[in-house]
Amino acid sequence: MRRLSALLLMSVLLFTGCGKKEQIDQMSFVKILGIDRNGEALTLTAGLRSSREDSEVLSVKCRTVAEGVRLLRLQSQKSVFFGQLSMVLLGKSVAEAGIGEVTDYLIRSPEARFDLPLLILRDQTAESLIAASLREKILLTEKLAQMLKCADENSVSGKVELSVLAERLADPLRAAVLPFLTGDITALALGGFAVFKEDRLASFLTPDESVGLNYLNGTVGRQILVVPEGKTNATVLICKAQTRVNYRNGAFSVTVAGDFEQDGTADAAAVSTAVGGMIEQTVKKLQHIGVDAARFGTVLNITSPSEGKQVKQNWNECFPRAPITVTVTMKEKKHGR
Amino acid sequence: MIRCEMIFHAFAQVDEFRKRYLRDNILLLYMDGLVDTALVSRQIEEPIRQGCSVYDIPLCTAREAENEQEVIAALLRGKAALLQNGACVVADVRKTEKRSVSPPEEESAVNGSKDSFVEEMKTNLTLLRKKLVTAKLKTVRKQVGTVSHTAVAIVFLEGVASARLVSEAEKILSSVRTEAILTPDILEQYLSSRLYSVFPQTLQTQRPDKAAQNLIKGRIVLLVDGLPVAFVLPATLAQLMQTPEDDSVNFIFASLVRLLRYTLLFVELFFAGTYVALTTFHVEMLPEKLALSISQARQGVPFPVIFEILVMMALFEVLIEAGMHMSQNTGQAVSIVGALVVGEAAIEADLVSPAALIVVAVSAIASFAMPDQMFSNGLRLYRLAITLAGAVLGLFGVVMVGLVLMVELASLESFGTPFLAPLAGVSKVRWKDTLLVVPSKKEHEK
Repeated sequence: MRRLSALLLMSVLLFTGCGKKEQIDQMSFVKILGIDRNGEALTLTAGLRSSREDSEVLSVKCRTVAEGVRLLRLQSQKSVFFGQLSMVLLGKSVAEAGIGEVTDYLIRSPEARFDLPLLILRDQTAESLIAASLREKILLTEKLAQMLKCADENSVSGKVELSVLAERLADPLRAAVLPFLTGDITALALGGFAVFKEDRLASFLTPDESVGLNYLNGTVGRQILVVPEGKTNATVLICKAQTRVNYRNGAFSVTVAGDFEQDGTADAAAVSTAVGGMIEQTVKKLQHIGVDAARFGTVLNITSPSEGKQVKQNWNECFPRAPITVTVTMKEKKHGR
Repeated sequence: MIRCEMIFHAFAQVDEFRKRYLRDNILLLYMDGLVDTALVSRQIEEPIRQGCSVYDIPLCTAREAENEQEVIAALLRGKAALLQNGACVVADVRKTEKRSVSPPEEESAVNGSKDSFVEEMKTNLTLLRKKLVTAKLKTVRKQVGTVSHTAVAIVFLEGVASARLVSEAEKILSSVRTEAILTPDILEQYLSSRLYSVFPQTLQTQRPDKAAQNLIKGRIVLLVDGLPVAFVLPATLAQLMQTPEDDSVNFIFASLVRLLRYTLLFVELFFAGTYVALTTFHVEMLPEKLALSISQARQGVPFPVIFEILVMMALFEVLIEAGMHMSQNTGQAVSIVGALVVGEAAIEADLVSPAALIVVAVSAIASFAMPDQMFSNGLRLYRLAITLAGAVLGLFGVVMVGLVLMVELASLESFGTPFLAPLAGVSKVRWKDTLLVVPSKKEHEK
């Protein structure tokens, strides 16, 4: 018992650097962080909350994210705490210049969470959006979280967490993607996915292409799909979809099988064609911009490691030339009929 | 041959000592106040005066004493002695001023029996014998205390209780070197295998039914003359977490309540410490809305979280202490003043935050839910240590003191039985009747 007590007491010394003691009421919680770039200068905008009623926006100009965070801490009367950060908004300018520095800082930060979602702003700066949300008294983080949840369910885009983004940026065989926002504070909407070549923005995908990318990545849970039915349109709900990507004899094949529910009389073949069309459109776009945001490179590396090793360093050049076929089979799910 | 001089010498300067010559050199000795004087005059004086010999007095407890020491001890116990020509007969004429059997004050049960142990050991044994009408209920008597000579009875069921337990209890009672057993804690100290532990290693109960139930389960019970409690040996954590109510209500409901009680044990220990650690070191672990609520509640409070928690804990302890020593009516007044001052006024004056008050109050209420008060006292000490560790080291500190607690509990033994049995130890874990309540019918079918 004495030895154990001595060991326990000694082990206390190991923990002396682990904690940062601060009283909760002396903290200002950063709820949302926006980062914009103007040439070499960065603008960091933090939406802060210190109680249920008190909100404020702080904005600083800086050259690096780390400098900006330090300046934010100096500007605030209270201790700025990033542990409750629930959303990071990146301006289009930052995405174009490269998101590597931002991701690197956040992943190393002891306060930021690994499941932190990041979004790109296409039509406005992060600073203006955060400031507008405070002006309009709109709880931006709650609104964006709800939009991401809704997008996840509808497969238009989806939440991309910090850890996933960092993993993708380090993977030479699979490009990173982030969801992007369109419109201003009054008409904010998720436009789909923005794809990156290394850490720079390569292109914004259309909503259909974003859905297609979700099919390619096998992340479609449910999707509302409108298909032509004679002279009118029919709406079906894709309730299950499984995607398999295979590599054989130098060619990729994408096979999608799934179920859909409907109220009308949409043809299964028409649904398959519509889904297939979206996937083919996405493949075409990705090959056009030379970015493998799906998992073709990963499948190649797993199926044929020797070939994977050869193309690893220049996969973005090889990918546009890769033959890819898409086969979709959708079945109608009948409940007790 | 018993010499009167020795007895007179022993009782020199003892006011209550009485000696009276009756007839033919028959000397009556007794201690005034300890004997029933009406009984002495009716059953001893009158028959002797009418010619009855000292051996024929109409008292069934009359017997011949062999030496002076025996006579002295008998007189001190409230017996009367009749001396004639060097022979001595002692007879029990004790005046028993005893409290009547009343409902237990601390271990009340709505549906259970309403009797409790009293200060008279004989009555307590009778209460047990009424519950267990069997000749297998045996007692071994011992005298403890160099001055008090307190009678202690080891009660057990022959064939059910282990002989090792009985002999070990006898050995411990023989080794007691104290002047008097006037409070339960004195004996508790001797019965504990580890003196410097904050947890009790015996189960003290006021309820004869609880003692009887433990006897049936093979445990032994110690009854001490002058103490209205029985010591049940060996004691385990599972026993200390049981209440008499568990067996007097529906077993499914009782199981849920027992599980709740174990949950409250963790609440009592860790709630305040975790709150301090989370609000001081790990704010990122709090959900956003909760963090904002706590932050808002603490606006204007000039003290750090640990200070307000410690102050509130101290105030609660003061209230408990004051309430215990007051009469029932004054105690209620103390509670009201305490609730108003500690609760409302302190919050309105921004001396403490409502969140801190809730945390301390929940911990305190959880401690009251513990069936055994001595066990709860030990937990309260650990709660303080955990809270302090949480304030200094955060959750690391909370876990560390939690581990020390686990080590202490796991290393405790009560008469050879691990304190955490059957939850920990070499035998298979018996969840039934430990965390849950087994219906008595099923237990017997098994």
